[in-house]
Amino acid sequence: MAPELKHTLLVGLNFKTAGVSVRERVSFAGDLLAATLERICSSGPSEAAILSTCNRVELYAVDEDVERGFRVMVDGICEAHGLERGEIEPHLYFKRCEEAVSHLYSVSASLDSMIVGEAQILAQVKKAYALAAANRSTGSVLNKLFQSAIQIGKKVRNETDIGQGSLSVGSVAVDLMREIFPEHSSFSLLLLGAGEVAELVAEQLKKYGNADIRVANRTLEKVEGKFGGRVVDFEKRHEEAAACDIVIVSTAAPDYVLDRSRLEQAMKARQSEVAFFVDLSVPRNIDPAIGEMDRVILYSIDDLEKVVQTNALKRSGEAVQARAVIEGSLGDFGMWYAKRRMAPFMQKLREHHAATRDAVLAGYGRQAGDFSTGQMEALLKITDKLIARQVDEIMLKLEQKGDPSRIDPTLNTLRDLYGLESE
Amino acid sequence: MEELARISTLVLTGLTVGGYLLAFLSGGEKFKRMALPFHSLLFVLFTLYISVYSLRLGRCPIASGREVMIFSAWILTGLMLLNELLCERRSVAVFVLPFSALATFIPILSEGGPWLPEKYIGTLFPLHVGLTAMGFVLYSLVFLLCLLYTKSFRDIKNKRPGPLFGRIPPLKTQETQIRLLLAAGNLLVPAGLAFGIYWSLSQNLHEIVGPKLLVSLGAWTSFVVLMFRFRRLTLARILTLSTLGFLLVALSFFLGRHGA
Repeated sequence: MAPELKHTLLVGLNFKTAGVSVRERVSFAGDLLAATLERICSSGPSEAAILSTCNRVELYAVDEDVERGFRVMVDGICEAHGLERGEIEPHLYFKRCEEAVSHLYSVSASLDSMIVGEAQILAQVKKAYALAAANRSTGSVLNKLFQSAIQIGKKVRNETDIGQGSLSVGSVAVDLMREIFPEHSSFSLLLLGAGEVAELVAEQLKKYGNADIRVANRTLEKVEGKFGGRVVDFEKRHEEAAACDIVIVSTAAPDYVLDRSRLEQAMKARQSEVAFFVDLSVPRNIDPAIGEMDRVILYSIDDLEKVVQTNALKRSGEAVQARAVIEGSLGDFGMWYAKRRMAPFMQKLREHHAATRDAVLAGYGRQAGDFSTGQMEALLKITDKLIARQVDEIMLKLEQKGDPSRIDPTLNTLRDLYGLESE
Repeated sequence: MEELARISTLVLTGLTVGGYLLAFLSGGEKFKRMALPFHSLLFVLFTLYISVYSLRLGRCPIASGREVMIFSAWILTGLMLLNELLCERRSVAVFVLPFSALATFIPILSEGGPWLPEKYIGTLFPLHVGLTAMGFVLYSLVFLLCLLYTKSFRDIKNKRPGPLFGRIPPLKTQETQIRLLLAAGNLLVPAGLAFGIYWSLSQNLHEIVGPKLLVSLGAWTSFVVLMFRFRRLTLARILTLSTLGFLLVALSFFLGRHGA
């Protein structure tokens, strides 16, 4: 009887199919992950692994019975989190074989991430694999699958620029800052207003170096205690802005809170050369004429978002290249799997031919007299090589079919013809 | 041996420049780390070459245009090594070391005869030429850095990131580099000129104030103004002043070669 074809199976949900309230109910960690892996492997599937991040929960398994495999994995999720099937099934996707492999490759290459090109997912895939391996729930198929997925993730990052270019206003502001100030340097930062985006940007900029932070707002209560910065008088904002290296403005004012004439006057006493102004307000709160001052760099939220859009566009272009890398690698996994299936049969075929040869030689020897030891050795050597060459030729022809789905029927036919079982 | 040292210097310069070029194009640290050992070896070899040459001649090797060029190339190489070691991951060496390579390579092709008869080569004259040459090399670097500074500043300001974006040190670092080079150059050049005047007097050369001295002082003045007014000058004026100063440096060298 031919060995059963083992299928690679995937059951999961992600940020596209389930909101955060669902995702947080099915996440796995620590003992729960280990227990679930054990439960899955003892219920039918021979291998299992779980990838659980803030944006996805995916279970990978290997089983001969597709229906059973899917059922066991869904049951594993439900039992681990005390959920009914009906609660999570609408959010789940089910993939098998090449689709499952392609999906993991895409995940590892960050093509399936919320932010395409993000760097964390590769580490998360590595961690998922390490945990499964530590729990001894992986075998040859998942080992090969995850190892190749990790390699492809690295290859995509090395061969494309998919990870280049920031995709948030805060990150773009930090990128610009990197062109103006050395990392870990000291700089002074003035935060005018209490806008949420401004706070996010300031938080990112604060991590960049040693920031002397000053905050100001018409309403003092809104900014007191923020970032550990000292509160300064809003009425002296021009003087404070002139004294700072970076100024971030985000107020609800309907007009300019910083105008050029007053700033120019205040800047006469400036000790530093370049000043970086970021206007995150709509409508704008920084007079655009300030951007025309010689040593001032002014970016509005529009400018930052344009950079974000440009970067997103570039990443989309790189995603096409990344997809090509993945497509090129899918065939490799398929061929590896096909060879793995062929190997036991080829071994049996070799043994079958060797047994036939032994019988023929033995019969010939009785009729014509025993061969000398030397003659027998030579005959065995020659016929061993003949057998190996014949079997290798069959294997090569099968490999040339390319697609494992075309190899299997031929393999089964050969098994039937020779009456051989691999196991 | 001299020929071997010269060829090794050229080869190492090529490898170093290649490494910095890759670092610049890739915007990363990997190739800079690759280039630094070549750069260090280049500087050591260059220093040995100059030392051995000086010992053989029994004097500082600055008596001819050819020697001054090699001497200047050595200073440039050392300065850039110091800058790259102190600077963060990005570098400007890719813009500077090719000039160093030229300064090493051209003398090999040129005649390079002595400017002055040997009897004039004592202590004062080498000090004059050496210090002035070092100062002028620093001024040339200032000019180059001002070019890069104004270009990258305008690119960021006008929201048009050009080829320099992400590849050279941040603006504040460039400002610090420019300021330091200006300070050093503005000390070395007048010191060198002072030794030159003193040497002229000691040689009873009566025409001290000639075109070359005036041009050198003009260059020094430009860069002194640049140093003290750097914060207040517009980008355009920084570029103009540094260009003027550099042209005067080049003119001074030209006049020096032709005995003015």
